[in-house]
Amino acid sequence: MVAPVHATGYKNGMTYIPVLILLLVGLAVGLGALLLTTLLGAGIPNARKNRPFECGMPSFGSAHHRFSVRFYLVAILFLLFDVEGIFFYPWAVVYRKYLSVNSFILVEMGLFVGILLIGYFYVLKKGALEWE
Amino acid sequence: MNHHLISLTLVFPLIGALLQTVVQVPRSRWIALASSLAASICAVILIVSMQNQNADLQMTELLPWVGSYAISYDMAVDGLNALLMILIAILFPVLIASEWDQKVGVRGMQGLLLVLQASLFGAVCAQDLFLQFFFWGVSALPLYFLVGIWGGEGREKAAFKAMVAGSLGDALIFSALILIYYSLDPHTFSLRELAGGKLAGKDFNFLGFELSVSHVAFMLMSAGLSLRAPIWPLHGWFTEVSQEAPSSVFVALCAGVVPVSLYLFSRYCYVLFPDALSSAYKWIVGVGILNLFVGGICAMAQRGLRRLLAFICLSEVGLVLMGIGSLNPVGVVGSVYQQLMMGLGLAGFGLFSGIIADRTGSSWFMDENRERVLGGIVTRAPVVAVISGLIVASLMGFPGFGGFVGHALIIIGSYSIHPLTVIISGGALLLASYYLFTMYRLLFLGGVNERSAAFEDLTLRERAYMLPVVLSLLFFGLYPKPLIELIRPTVLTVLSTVK
Amino acid sequence: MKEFVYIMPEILIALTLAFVIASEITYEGEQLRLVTAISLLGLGAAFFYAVYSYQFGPTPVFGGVLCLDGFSLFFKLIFIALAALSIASVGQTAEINPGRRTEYVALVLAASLAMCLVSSAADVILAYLSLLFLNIVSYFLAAFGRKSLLSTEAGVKYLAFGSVAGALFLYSLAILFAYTHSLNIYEIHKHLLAQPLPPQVMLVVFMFMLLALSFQIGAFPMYLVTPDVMEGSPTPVAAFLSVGARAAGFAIAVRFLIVIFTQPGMTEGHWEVLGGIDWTQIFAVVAGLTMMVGSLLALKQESVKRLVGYLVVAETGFMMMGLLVLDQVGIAALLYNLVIQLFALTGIFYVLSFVFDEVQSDRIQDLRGLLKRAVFECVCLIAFLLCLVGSPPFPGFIGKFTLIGAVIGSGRYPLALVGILAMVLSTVAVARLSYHLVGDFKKSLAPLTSQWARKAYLTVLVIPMTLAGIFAGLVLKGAGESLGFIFW
Repeated sequence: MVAPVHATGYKNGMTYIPVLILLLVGLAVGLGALLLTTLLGAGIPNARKNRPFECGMPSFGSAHHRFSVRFYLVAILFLLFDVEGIFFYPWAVVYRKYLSVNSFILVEMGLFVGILLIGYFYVLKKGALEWE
Repeated sequence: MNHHLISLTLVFPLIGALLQTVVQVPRSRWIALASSLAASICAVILIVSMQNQNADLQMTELLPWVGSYAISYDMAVDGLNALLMILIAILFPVLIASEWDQKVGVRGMQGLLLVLQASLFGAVCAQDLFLQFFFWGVSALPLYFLVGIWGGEGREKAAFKAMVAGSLGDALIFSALILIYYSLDPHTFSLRELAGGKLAGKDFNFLGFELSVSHVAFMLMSAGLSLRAPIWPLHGWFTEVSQEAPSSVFVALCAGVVPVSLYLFSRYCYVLFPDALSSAYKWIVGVGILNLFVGGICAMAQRGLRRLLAFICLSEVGLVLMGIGSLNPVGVVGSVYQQLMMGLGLAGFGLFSGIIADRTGSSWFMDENRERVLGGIVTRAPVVAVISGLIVASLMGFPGFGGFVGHALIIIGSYSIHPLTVIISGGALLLASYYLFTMYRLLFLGGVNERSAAFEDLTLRERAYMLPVVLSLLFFGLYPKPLIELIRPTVLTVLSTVK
Repeated sequence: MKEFVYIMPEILIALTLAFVIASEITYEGEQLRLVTAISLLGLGAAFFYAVYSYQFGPTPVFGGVLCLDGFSLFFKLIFIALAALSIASVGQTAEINPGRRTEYVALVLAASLAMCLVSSAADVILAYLSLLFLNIVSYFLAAFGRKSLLSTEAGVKYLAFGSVAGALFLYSLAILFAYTHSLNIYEIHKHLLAQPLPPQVMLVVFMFMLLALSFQIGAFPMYLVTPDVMEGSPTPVAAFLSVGARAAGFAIAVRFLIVIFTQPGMTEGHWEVLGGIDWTQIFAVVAGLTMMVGSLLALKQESVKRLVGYLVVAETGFMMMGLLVLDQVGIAALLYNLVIQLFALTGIFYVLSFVFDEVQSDRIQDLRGLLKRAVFECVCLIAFLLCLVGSPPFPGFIGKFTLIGAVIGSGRYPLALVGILAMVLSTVAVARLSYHLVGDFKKSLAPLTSQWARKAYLTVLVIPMTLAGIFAGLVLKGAGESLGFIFW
């Protein structure tokens, strides 16, 4: 009995060979480029050549900026309320079907939004959304 | 039969200790003394009302405590522990009276002494192993604080060493107890139910070896107790504490805790491990003789009263061990009697050496050139000299004092093991007369020098508390019959299970 | 709808939390007093309701997601009491910024809500979510210290370890779901009884779950973060986390390990290992290592809070011994120890926080002479420490005895030996600390300020502890009975 063969002619375990080839080729090209430059390139470093490339402008200051924590705060709050928004979608899908039974589905979503609104007012009052 | 006297002996000191936290000095000292005396009076009434010729446990109190683990509050007295009740009853009011003039934290000190008294009463009377270990473990804590707070220069180190030795000893005893508990079905901690060799023949599996419960538990328990009641060579913490502890605390240790640990050893040997005892008694006697000798020889080299007391205690412990291991009614009765006498004798010694140290500022009686440091106290303070002389006589085993009865009974009893033991122990007791006489001569006799010229005699308070000790030593030496009649039936019953 | 009655304690805590948050943004007066009053009232109501819920018997709630039984109610009572004690002590500490004390109260309430959910979770996803909820709030609490680098470091370390642990937990649960296609652990149990997992897969699942849970309870090898958190976080937070997070970890460990990895054994109240591998051996090795590591490292510490942290690690090792015997007696012993530690650890950290406020340091050398300066507090501290390590006459001794006894009763003598040795070592560590506390008693040192509120709080802790010791039989019986309810 012949081993089960995929429609394209590969055996089951062999369907991922192209991925392996891709991986190897990618590694080869990347490493190869680096190796070739190291071996064949002229190696006379000097201070000016080793500076980071800033489109021709001279770089100044330290590369370690401190970002204001406001960005982080806004991003996290966005994440929270965005996930809240995501929960609306499945609710919306079954809304009509359950509305015909009774209005509990509306109350349930109202409670959910209400709790998050309390959170939103807390955030507002605590001043987390102030930019300055 | 539910009497409540034993519980009262526990409750009175604990109430006294609690009251120490709220009442101020000077009234707190009277409350401490009163509660200690109340407990002592209850103990004495208890012993006096015991029936002679009765080998059973008397005055029992039995209440279940933790039902699911079969732990009960079980207290009783019989021949083995009656004398220790008397010892603790006499000892602790005396100690509290001796600490009357303590300047710093007298309430704490007397409170801790009261807690120690209650825990020793409990450990002596408990007939349930868990309860007994509970009280025994409690007795370690007050000592640690008493030495660590009120001691001498190196007090914290001494207290720390005492705590380490105490915890290790307690842990070994604890492992023995749990081993015993789980080897029987149904599990029980009650000494009554475990009595009479129930443990013989039980085995347990440890890392692939089949070990006998009885033998392993016996070894663990004796190792643990030899740390707490110092047996040479595990006595290092004891001599350090002797140097650093205040005198009354060291007296509580050698005259209270050490006899109780010897009692625990004898109780466990005879009641729990009669089979192991019949194969180990020679070792016990051997260790006893070793302690007797080493204690005596080390005592001969001592120049200070404190270390001398420590080594005398070591010798006495050896003597009692010899009696316990003799498996002879005379020897065992002697060992029980000697527990009481040793306690009283060591207490008296510790107390008068404390008085001397307080008066003269040092407890050395001989300096490096073997010259006397003090001397001629008998001319300055005859009462001290007489009292100390009586106590020293008892420690030496002079006829007419309690020490003689104990020594004689033990030595006679040890003949049954081997006649050589009589000669060896007699020789060791001769050493005792050497160092005790030397100490007495250097301190009390001879010419007066400038340090002892201002020695004042005993105050009324000091006479009041030294008197019970000396009187009981005389009384129990001249009329030992009632106590021996109390001890004998129990000892005979117990020994019959060993053979 | 009527099932909401079963989760009334959690609803009450959530409502209290909502009130606290609302009052924080609307009330302009003395916020802390109002917030404390509301939260204590709410917690008191939740406590009474939890006691009242005992009559409902073991019931699945919301289709098996939560499980209301005696086991979860026992833990809920512990958590609510812990939250009340923590909130009652917050007004007196200087380690938390006064402006953020109401936030602290809110976080404590949130954490106790999470803990209550953790102890009753019977669904894989809810267990993970509530554990994560608890851990995230704990990270905030650990980093709450006022201008303290140590506190921030503690929070970050806790976060790093916690996320790894959460990932491992989720992975093991995912494997279980993949094999059994059900989310309820009781359903999983039924599937595993019928068709067990291959032993290697069972081993992998067990190891991951063990690693994750050992982070939560502070066992080897995930104990590394516990002393850092104990030392760095503000002392009231250390009190709260050392009892609460660990108890929640034990709740979930007992429930999950017993339901997923064991089957009912021969006799009533015993369980046997399911799945072909004897995981109790691995558990025993981990417990022994935890005890030894905790006690040995406690001997060398120079910081008191860190010393207590290592003692806590050793305690975890002891309590693990109660779980591995797979016996009702052993788990009752574990629960008894948790109750004792609730009072002992809260008391220890309370006195330490008072001392830290006065002395501004938690080095052992700086605590010298505490007995002279604050007698009542120092005596309480030493008493609570001795209770923690299991020294007679304190109830901790009965707790240790029940645990070591359970282990000996099941025949594991080497482990019992390690346990006794660890007890001695931790007693020596406490002796070393009290050596310094009682030192210099004869010198005259400046006394520390004393308030009756402080003494009252400590008395409130000492009394239940003493009662739990005297009535140990009752408490053990109650713990054992609440186990009979583990919904099977």
